[in-house]
Amino acid sequence: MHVARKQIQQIYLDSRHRYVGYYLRYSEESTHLAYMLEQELANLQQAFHWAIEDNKHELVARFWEAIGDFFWEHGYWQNYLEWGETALNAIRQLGRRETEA
Amino acid sequence: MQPVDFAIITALAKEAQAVVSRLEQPTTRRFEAEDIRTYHYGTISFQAPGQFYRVVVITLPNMGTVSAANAVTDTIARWSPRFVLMVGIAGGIPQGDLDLGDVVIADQVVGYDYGKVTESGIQPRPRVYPASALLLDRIHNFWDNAWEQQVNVARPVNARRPISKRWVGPIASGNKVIASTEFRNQLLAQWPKLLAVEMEAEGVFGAIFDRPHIRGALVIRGICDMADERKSDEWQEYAANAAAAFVVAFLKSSPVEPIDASAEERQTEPSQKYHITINEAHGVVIGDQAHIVQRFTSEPVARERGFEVASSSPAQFMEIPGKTYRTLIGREPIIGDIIAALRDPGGKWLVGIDGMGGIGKTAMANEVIDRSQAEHLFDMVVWESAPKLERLHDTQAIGGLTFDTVLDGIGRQLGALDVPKLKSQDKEARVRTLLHNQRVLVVLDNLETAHESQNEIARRLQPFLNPGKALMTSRHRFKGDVYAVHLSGLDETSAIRFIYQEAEEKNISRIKVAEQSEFQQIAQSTGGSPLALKLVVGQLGHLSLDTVLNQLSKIRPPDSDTNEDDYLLFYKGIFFSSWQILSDAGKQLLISMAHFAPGVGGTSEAIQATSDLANDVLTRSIDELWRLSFLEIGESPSLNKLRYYLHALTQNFILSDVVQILK
Ligand SMILES: Nc1ncnc2c1ncn2[C@@H]1O[C@H](COP(=O)(O)OP(=O)(O)OP(=O)(O)O)[C@@H](O)[C@H]1O
Ligand SMILES: [Mg+2]
Repeated sequence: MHVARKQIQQIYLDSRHRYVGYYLRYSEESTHLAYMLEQELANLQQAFHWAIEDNKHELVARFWEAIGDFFWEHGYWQNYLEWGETALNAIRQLGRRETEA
Repeated sequence: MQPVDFAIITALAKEAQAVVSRLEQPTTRRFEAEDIRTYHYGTISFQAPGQFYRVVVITLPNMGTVSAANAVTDTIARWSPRFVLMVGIAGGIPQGDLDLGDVVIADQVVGYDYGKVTESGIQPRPRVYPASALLLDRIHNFWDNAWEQQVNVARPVNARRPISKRWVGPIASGNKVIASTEFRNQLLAQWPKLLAVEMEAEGVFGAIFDRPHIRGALVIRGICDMADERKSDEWQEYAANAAAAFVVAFLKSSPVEPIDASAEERQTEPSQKYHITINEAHGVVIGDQAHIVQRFTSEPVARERGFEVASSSPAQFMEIPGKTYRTLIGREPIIGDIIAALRDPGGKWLVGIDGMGGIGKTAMANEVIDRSQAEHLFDMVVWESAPKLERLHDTQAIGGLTFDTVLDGIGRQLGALDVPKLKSQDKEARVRTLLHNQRVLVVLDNLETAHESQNEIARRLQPFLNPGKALMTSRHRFKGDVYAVHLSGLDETSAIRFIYQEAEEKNISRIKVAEQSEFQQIAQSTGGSPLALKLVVGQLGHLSLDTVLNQLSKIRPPDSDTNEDDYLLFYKGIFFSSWQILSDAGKQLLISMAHFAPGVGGTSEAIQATSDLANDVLTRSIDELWRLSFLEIGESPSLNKLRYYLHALTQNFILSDVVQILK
């Protein structure tokens, strides 16, 4: 059977969703384990980036909660600065939504 | 006095007792006029009768590295041991299921006490001591687990496992009793594979350094607490006994030739000559750390045989990507030239490897690191990669490589975590100092994707390097004051050797019927690109030689390897033939794999979670992708796990030609 184009897109999007979810869980479980975070840094960065781009405020906030300190303490200053801002915005947005609700 | 085979140093009485109780004919020897020690002398017979080791056991009056160094100095003067073993208990670091009562053998000892006091605080400068390579080899080949049964004190009831396990990995040593999760994590951050912390090994290694008669030392420690706030004494007895049981069982397996008792007594050096003071012992320059970074070839072997092995390369090298080739084919002369350039103190400070994607630049950088480490050209290697995929995102991708972030990466990898936070002038001064104090090889991979011009980065980096050097790779040509090497495809002979090696590794037999002219055709139409050759060999696992050759005849190797569009088109043709062979599950897995950072990939859990394939399907699909060379399999540098990853060009094919989402 041939995997049709539409199906390919679907597989891509579904798996991307799971990818982001996996690394979010991973970062939450490894919050204090710098070596675990370091190990998956490139993937955490990628997943975090997807969360930002898809405007998933809650995911962004959770990511930041889990790895912000690590960026600060382990010399990923660039990430800390660039994403801290984004994460803060996301958290503000969340807050706004909650107050509106 | 007859020299002994092993001097066993312990820190506590209960550790000494656990060993001495296992000796044959133990006797106590004292030499009050000359030193303060009590030596327990005895023998350990081999399982095969007739031969034995002479062993002397001592315990220290105090804990700590100074006490240990002093005791070792005395013991060496009196007994001329061939090997020194440090045996006892230690605090464990939670790694995998490492638990109380387990036994840890150090493949290297990290002396974490050292640092430089500066205006901005203390900069840690750990020293690293390698364990005796000979004894480590024997440890890796000692497969008998009966020692677990020979622990002869009661196992505390709060055990999570019924028996102890043994582990091999780095141990941190310094003058601190560690009962703090925070401090433990600080150490871990620097040495992610750390298994244990203790207080003597560093002194032992300091004291034996440069002694001609001593062949090396090994540290064996039973885990009695987890170096955190819950530290208690409950497990000490058991852990001490487990370490002793392990050591004695190991020695009974006769790991090395015993000293021939009938041979002439070895000349014992006068004790004065050996009696370096502690300060001197600590002042010894450990000149030879470089070889520690050589990847540990016996590790996969050990793991294959079911041993727990924590990887042995220290944190500084964790950013070096895993090797993706078995042997590097057809690049000997170029590698020789590069090594010569790196070796030459009057030569260029920068070496640049350029060439089209998939031609073997990263692989060559990897090989150059290995060779230069074998020659001890550098004390440290730092590796920075520019991320490959930026076209994927709307927002500016993070972590783009610039001169500034190169400095950050160097600082971070050399353990100076504050560097990224410094203002640019301070940062430059700081990194300059870091690079002047040791010979560092700075590797910058994928410079074609850097956010600043590669030649500009190179130009600015140059004044920082001496006595170190830089090795750079890029798909674009290097200009300026760089020893530039341009890589093109493998020549025909090498390409054919490459095909054979690949086919053998992937068990593809169709290659056996190929004729010389057909090999030549493959070599020509792939332009000798290693990545293209790999893919073609993979196709031969499914398709007839004729079909593969026919498909190849429609593809032209790129005219010029500097034109990116040209060679991406070329790879697309080859990838596409392989893609069509794939099963649906294989396709699903490959698409899922494209999310992971290329060259980094993920563990099997991550891949399973992302692809959502059932376990057995996943296993089959991984095998399918690997045989088709869509997927590389490597070891995770610090976790004890395999990683699966795509080459950047494979990811590019999936995202731009299959999913078609690349901008
Ligand atoms: N001489 C060689 N012998 C054996 N295998 C090789 C050789 N050169 C490269 N390879 C293998 O071919 C593949 C492609 O090589 P590599 O990743 O080093 O290319 P690259 O030039 O760094 O590509 P890119 O520009 O995309 O980073 C890898 O799997 C690598 O291990
Ligand atoms: Mg590369």
